[in-house]
Parts: sequence; C-alpha cells; structure tokens
Amino acid sequence: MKLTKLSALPTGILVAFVLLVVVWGFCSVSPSDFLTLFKDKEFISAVVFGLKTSFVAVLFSSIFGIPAGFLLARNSGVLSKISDVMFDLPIVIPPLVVGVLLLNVFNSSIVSDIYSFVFTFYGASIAQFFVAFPFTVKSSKSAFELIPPVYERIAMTLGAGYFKSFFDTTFRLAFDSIVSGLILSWLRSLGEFGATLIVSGGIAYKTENIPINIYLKITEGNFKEGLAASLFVIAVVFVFVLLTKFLFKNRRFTP
Amino acid sequence: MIDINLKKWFSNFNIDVSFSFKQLRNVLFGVSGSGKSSILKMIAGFFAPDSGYIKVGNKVFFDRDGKINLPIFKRGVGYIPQEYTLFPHMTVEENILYGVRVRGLNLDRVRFNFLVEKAGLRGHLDLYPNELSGGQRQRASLVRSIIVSPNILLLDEPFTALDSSIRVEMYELLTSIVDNLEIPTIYVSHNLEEVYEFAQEIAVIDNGVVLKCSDRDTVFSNPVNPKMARLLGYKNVLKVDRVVGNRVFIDEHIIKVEKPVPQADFLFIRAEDVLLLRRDTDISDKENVIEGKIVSMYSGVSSVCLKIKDGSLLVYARVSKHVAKKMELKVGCDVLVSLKKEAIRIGWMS
Repeated sequence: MKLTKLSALPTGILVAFVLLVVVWGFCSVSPSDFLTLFKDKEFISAVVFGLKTSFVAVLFSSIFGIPAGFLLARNSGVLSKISDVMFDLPIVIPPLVVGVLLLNVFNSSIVSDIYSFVFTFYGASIAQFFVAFPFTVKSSKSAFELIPPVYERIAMTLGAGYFKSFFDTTFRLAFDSIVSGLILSWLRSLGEFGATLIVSGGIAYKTENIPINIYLKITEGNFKEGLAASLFVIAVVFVFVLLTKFLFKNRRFTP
Repeated sequence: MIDINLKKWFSNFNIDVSFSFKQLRNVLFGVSGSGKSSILKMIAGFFAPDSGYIKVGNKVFFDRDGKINLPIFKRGVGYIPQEYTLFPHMTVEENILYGVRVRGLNLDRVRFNFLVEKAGLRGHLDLYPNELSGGQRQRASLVRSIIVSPNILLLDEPFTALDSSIRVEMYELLTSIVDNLEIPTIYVSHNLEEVYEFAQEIAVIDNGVVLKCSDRDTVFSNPVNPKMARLLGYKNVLKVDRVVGNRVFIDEHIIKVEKPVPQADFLFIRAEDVLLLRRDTDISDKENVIEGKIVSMYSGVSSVCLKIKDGSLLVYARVSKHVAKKMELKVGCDVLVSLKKEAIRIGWMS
C-alpha cells in the first residue's frame, strides 16, 4: 500500500474531528441566536474594537516584520539566527504570560511616566502586535527565501535603483505569500485573548475585543450567545483562510 | 576597448588578472572554478575587487585608486547568466521593455522590431516566461539586455542548459546581434567548441590568473604550458628530455620540429593532427613516423580516440569512425603514426 493511501486515514480522522466540532456548534444554535448577537451593542463594540486594534497590530507588523523577514532570508549571520530564535518566542510563550510581561513593562516608571498603556486601546494593540508580528516575519522570510537575488541584480543591470529593483522583482514575487502572512497575523490579532485581557482589562465598550466578549458571555451564563459569537469568529476566520489559499492561485505565472 | 586589471582575495581563492580586449566578441575561457564568472560579476558590479580598475570604452566602472565604484545600475551592462532570469511575473514584452521603462527612455520601435523578429519572439510577446521553452527564454533575456544599448554585454555560459541543436542557433543569433549592433561582449565559457565558434579574442583563465590573452587563432595555436594545452584540447602533452637544433629528444625517440629551438620542456599535439598510416604506406616522405601498438580505443559519436604506445611513448590519435572501420583498427593492432611538424607546438614548464 502506498504511503499516501496510508496517510489518508489519519487525515480523514483529523478532518472529521474538526468538522464534528464546528458542525456540532452550528447545530446547537438557531438563527435567532445570531440575530440576538448582532443586536447586542456590547458585542458590536467588541467587534469594532477588535478590528481597530488588530488593524494597528497588522500595520506595525508589516512595517517592521517584512523588512525583518527580508533580512533573515538574505543574511545568514549569527545575529540573524539569534533574531530568528527570538521571533519564535512570542509564538511559543502562552499569550497570558506575554500579557503579564507587557504589564510589567507598562507599569514600570520609565514607561508609565511617558504614557499609561494599561487599560487602553494602544496597550491592547501593542499586546496583539507582540503576539502577531512573528507570523509576518516568518511568512515574509519564507517568501523572500524562495526568490533568488539574481532578479534584483538583473533589474539593476537594466537601470533600476536599489529600492526599485527590489520592489519590482523580489517584493512583487513574494507579495502573495507576504499578504497570506499578514492575513494570518491579522486573524491572530483578532482572536487574541490572554495578553489583551491582561493589558487592557477587557472593559466593556472600551477595551473589550471579540474573544473577551465571548469569555464574559459564558462566565455570565449566556452560553448560547457565547457560542453564536464563537461561530461568527469561525466563519470570519474560515473565509480569510480560504482567501489566503485561493486568492492568487489563478495566475498564469508561477513565481 | 575593455581594460581590466583587478585583484580579489576570497577566503580560499585569489583572483589576480590583467587583460584587455579590443574586439567585439571576447571570451573568458577556463575550467569551472577558475575564477572567470567572478571576474564577470565584478565587471557587472555585483561585488567590488579589492584593487585595480575596470574600464569599458571611455567609461570607468571601477578604479580603486581613483575611488570610483559605479553602482550596477549606472554601469549600463547587459548580464545573462546560465539560469533563466526573465522576471516570472512579467510577460515577455514587459520583460523586454523593463529597462526602457525604468530608465525613462523612448522606445526605439525599429530596434525593438528588429530584435524581436531576429529572436523569433513576435508571437510570444504576451506569454509569461513559464510558458516559453528554455531557448525562447534565453533569447528574450538577450533581447531585454540589448534593447537598452548596454555599454557591454556579459554572458555567463547562458546557453549551457539548452539542447546542443538550440545552442548552435543561439550562437548564430548572438554573433549576428553583437556584430550588427556593435556591442562589446565578454562571454564566459569552459566549452572549447563554444569558445572557438564565438571568440575573436580570448583570455585563458586558470586558478585566478590569466595564462594568455590574445586573438583566437594565436591562443589556440600557442599553448604556453601543459595546463593551457590541456585546456585548449591538446591531447598529446609529451615531456621533452633535451633539444638539439630542431631535433627534440623524447626517451629514445627523436621528433623533428619546424624550426630550431633553444629550449623546450613539452611538445603539444592535437589528437586530430596525428596522422594514422597503414602498415604498407610508403613513409619516405612522411615526418616523424612512429611505429606503435594500439593499447586502447574509445568510441565517440563520430570519431574514435586511439591510444598508441611505442615503448615509453604514448600518443593519442583521433580518427573518424569511417576511417577506423576502413583501416580495421582494433586494440593490439600495430600501426604507424606521423607527427606533422606544422602540428607540433612547443611548450615550457610555467
């Protein structure tokens, strides 16, 4: 028996497991539960807050993460390797711990004398940025590694300057993967719970994002609405993950 | 026209070369790892030499003493490496016109049409590189490099990955374009046939130094040492014992050369230039006849290489398959070979 055929069994079990959990969830709520959810002003406020903070987090992830990914892809020095390991930390550290560490920094006199980030929009954005930017770095690094530097050199021989040659060749060719990485970073920010809760406090109508709203709904005993909100998140995530898989697949060229 | 003098120290390899080319079609020839591609990359500006200068026409690309190091995009070089380098996300037309666009030049339609027709790309302009064959990709790369009228065209074995039949077409196209548009070109190769086809001038590079730089025929007919002789396809490199006038002593054999020479360390003879004779041939008018035995035979596509031994002297000869069959050559056969004086080259140790 071929190995691929043999692998089909565990693959099928995993798919069935995911489907069971999601479908069971959708079977457990009625359309009226969703209607109630969308009429809930606190939930809508949480959605808006989550979108805003995750947007800021992704914006800064792209500003810092894409150049960092480029450096890691092109430079194999010791400092690059150490940086690469450092960028793994936010991924593997539990978000709650990230929140505690950030809270510690924000509460230090050096930072708090300049601005009080705790329980604020910016505090929540920084927490989400910390957790999400490694996804941008890693995906950018992988994307840039696949593009040989010779394209940039050829563009330069044809008259393009340093930045233009990079933008017209390497960046354009890596663009699809970078966008996919940014979408993943954004989804990670949107679904961030532990660090955001610790830093921003999850204050209703002020610093409450979707996962905090779901948590509060369930702790208040409002399980059905919490479940409906969770399924809403799943639907959003599903659409965007699907987008990252198929967005650029119908192009005639192969980067 | 092209004046190069550069030194570069790598961790395990050094380049120290000085040569100049005055013709359009020039070749850096040497085995893989001899440093020729690195020299080409330094001319293109991909990295800088540690010292020296690079001058093309009246433009100085690099001069350590004058503190000049033009960035790649100001050198005006066309560079085509072995790998396919058309931008994958652009169509053939977009690729060809990239240099025109980024330099803000007005497109010379006559030149564009001439090059596109010449390269046979007229029907392929809307295609992406992955929709082209290897030959079409390299032709498009060539047109892309040339349309912006480069100061120099640098080719780093660009046709190596192509089929031999396509390679011949590519040389013809390249030669015709370079001659028509008068673009100084440096072609890097380790392929003897390629070099002979294309070159007007050749610099033979070995281990980071220039063994010889001259016009093609001078280089091919005057190998200076055994290394260069082997590079240039001289199969017979015979160690000389002593020389008296025009008589060269190799073990118990005496080989007569064209002119008296004061000293010689080696004789170089191409296997193709060794004349194979029948046993019953009248040898009275033949030069340097040696009687030997075929000790091995290697058959190629169209020719047979023979190893002939006479005592300690080993001579390689190459004959067509047709001749080998007609003469009924086989291992163990006794044969006569003649080393024509005009085919013998004199070589020295260094």
